[in-house]
Amino acid sequence: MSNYDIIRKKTIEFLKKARDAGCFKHILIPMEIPSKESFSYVLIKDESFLIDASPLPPVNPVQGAKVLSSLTRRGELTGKTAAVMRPCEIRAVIELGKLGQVKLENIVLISIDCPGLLPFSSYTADPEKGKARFEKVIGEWGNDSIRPVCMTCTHFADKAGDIHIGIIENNNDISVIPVNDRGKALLEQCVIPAGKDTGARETKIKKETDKRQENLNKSDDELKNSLQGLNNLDKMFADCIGCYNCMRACPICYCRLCYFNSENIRHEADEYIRRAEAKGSLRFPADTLLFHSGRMTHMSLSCVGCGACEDACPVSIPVARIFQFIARQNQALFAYTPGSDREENIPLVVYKESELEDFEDSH
Amino acid sequence: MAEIMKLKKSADAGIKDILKYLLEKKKVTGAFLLKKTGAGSVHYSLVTNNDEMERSVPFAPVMPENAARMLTIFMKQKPPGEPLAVVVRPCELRALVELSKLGQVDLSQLFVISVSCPGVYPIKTYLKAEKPDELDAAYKKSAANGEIQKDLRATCNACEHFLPIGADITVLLVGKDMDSACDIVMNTEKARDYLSGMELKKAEEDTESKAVVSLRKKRDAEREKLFSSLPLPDAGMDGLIQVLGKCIQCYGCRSVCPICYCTLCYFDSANNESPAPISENEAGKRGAVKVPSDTLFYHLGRITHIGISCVGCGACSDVCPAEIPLPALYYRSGKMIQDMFEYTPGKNRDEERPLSVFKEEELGEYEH
Amino acid sequence: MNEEFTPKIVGFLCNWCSYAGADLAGVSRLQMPPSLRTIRVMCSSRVDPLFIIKALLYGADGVLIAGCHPGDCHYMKGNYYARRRFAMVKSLLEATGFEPERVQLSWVSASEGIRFKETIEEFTNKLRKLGRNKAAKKVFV
Repeated sequence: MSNYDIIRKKTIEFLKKARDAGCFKHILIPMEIPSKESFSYVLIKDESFLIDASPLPPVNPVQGAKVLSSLTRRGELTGKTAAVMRPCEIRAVIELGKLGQVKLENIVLISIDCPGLLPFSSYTADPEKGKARFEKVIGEWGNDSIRPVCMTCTHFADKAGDIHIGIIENNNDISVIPVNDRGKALLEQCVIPAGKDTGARETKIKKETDKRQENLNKSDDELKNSLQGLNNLDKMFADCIGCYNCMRACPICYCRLCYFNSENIRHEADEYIRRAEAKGSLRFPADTLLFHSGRMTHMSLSCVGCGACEDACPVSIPVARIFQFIARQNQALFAYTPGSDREENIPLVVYKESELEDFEDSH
Repeated sequence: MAEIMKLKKSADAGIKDILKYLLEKKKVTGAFLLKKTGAGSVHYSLVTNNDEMERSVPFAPVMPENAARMLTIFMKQKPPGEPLAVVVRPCELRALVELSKLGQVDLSQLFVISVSCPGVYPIKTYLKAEKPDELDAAYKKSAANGEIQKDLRATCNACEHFLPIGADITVLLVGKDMDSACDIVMNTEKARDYLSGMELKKAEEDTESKAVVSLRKKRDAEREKLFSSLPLPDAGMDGLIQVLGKCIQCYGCRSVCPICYCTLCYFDSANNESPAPISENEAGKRGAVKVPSDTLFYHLGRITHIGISCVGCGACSDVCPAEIPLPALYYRSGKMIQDMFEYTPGKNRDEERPLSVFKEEELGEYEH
Repeated sequence: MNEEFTPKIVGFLCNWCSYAGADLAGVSRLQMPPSLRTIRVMCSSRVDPLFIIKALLYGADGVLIAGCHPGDCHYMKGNYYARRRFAMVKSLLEATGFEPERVQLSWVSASEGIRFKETIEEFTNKLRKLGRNKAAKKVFV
């Protein structure tokens, strides 16, 4: 049996057991779609469907946080529901919780170690090959067939939920790790022994984190040069056609009507002509850089680097890498790691009386 | 037979000359056409000066954005005070006409230049091409011979309205050597008036040239093929799920659709959101349910919104990250609806859209 | 099994004619199969094509739109628009193979209690023959 199937089987076994013990009633989990070309989150009520679930799909067409917010933003679930997701998805869920877009009351968050995801388009082009590639990804714990933004992710084993499923340290088993008191209570309720922390897990995580940190440094160096100055920025987004798929796929961009779709940035024709006259011509859609940099100001503090934007870009702009590059710098400014602490506020809604003096004029 | 002006230069250079003349003589305040950007990509641009015009590529075989959509952005708030020349493809022009019926654009100030259209490459194929010259050469060759170029957008190869309807001037590309001929049909008084000061050599020619006729025939066959490429309608519900199952609900197809003009789409509105208990109820009924659901609802619903005006430009197909064969679905369903009402979107500016009018005696077969 | 099966029909009835027709059928104690779920709308033209599609996707076995006879619309011409929209939806369902037989447009006036009963009976029988709407059980909608 492949690693993929072992993880799948063991996770489903655990979920079944926990459900039978009354830890939760429903399960939100990815499942392969009938055409076998992709995966999709499904809310399972009838346990017999669980057998087809895929807790660790090779691709992630819709980011889990988006799934949960579409489900609960108009009201909480009535039945207790387990949501099985990757760490970046759960981190985004936590950010959306802070932004009032997810109601977490009846949800048990279960995160799972993530070896990375394959680029969506390459997977759907040939799902059979994709599955074989992903099996290797699990075995080697990430290789260069995963998305570039996944290769630089250091949060792949973040225990982000209430319960965490560890797979990194084992080839043929999963370990169920309680993350907080809630998770602990739930595991006790269903009499599932918590995975023993043998130290092997930490060692493996450390090793893989170092590898990815190295990738990250390399990618940062490259980006630093290619993002410097207006001309470079312009080049980076040269092919942008203004479809806003990146914004639509982003779990953090939750606005119903985006500012950049609003009338606020639509002008009278003569205004566009004046702008064109000032430099000889004006590209349409106009304001491409305003859109991207504006979106950065909206979501970068909460950006978890899930890469959904890059998967959705029809002209292959490395949006996720660019946004992560900026986002990490912004987050560092406030020593903020999105999705790490549910109690911590998003930096822009709080302040300290004395801080950030470096940014003030010295006069 | 139509009156044709022949410029002995490439189609690109010829039309640039005309645009420069129009700008110089202040017939128009600007020109809206494809242009190489400073960063090396190709996009629509509003060009107001003749030096910048040099960088324009009016007939680059790509449609990065649908011009009708861009022109809606340009003039929805308030149309321009003075005339503007636009270089658009026939489907873009048809979309413009539909949008004007929908009150989104004002065509009165536009001087429309269009082409007999050989089609365009998918955006990614063209913008990310390693050897763009080869693409250009292959394009020009198939255009000159009135042949199908298999790498073009699927909808382009299946297009039946590749001669523009209602343009002021038409540049003939199908059946012509784009490198050496710029043959222009003057369709309107406005065209003759605007270009009256230019020295143009006249000739008489049939716009339904051999190449056009032959291309039309080939495209008719391609269209049949495209339409029958889906498992629909035979596979019914399962077929729909098979075709649309990959959808990631980015709504990119809607974002780039020229006809989808709403600022706030119904499918983004609160009307289309269901509180958790509804999903739970559906999960109960079905055993499990996809979240977010309503994928089929979105696509079928969108066809009820745009089907009647769908010009089959193919913008939706280029932008779909899941590469769903959207044109086959939208264009085909749209065409079936249009055929029922005997309506060709963008054909007649004075004809009302079928859903805004009615006849007292009609459609008896739909009543029970 | 099909004889047991009572289809679920979502019926959009116009306030001025068909709803009153249904009412008349009721007070006249005409017997009808219990298949109809009524939604009263002010006019048949109030029925957004999306209502029809949503009802079908969420498992209705049939959708009935009933309004005033042509020429009798309380708002003069609403039912003419409704007819065009209905034709559009039906043609979309045909194009996509989504069982166009499950939707029906009927004209029933306020005085036609018997006609209303017959409409429901006929449609119900037709849907019985068609069987259940498979969309009701699909996971990936």
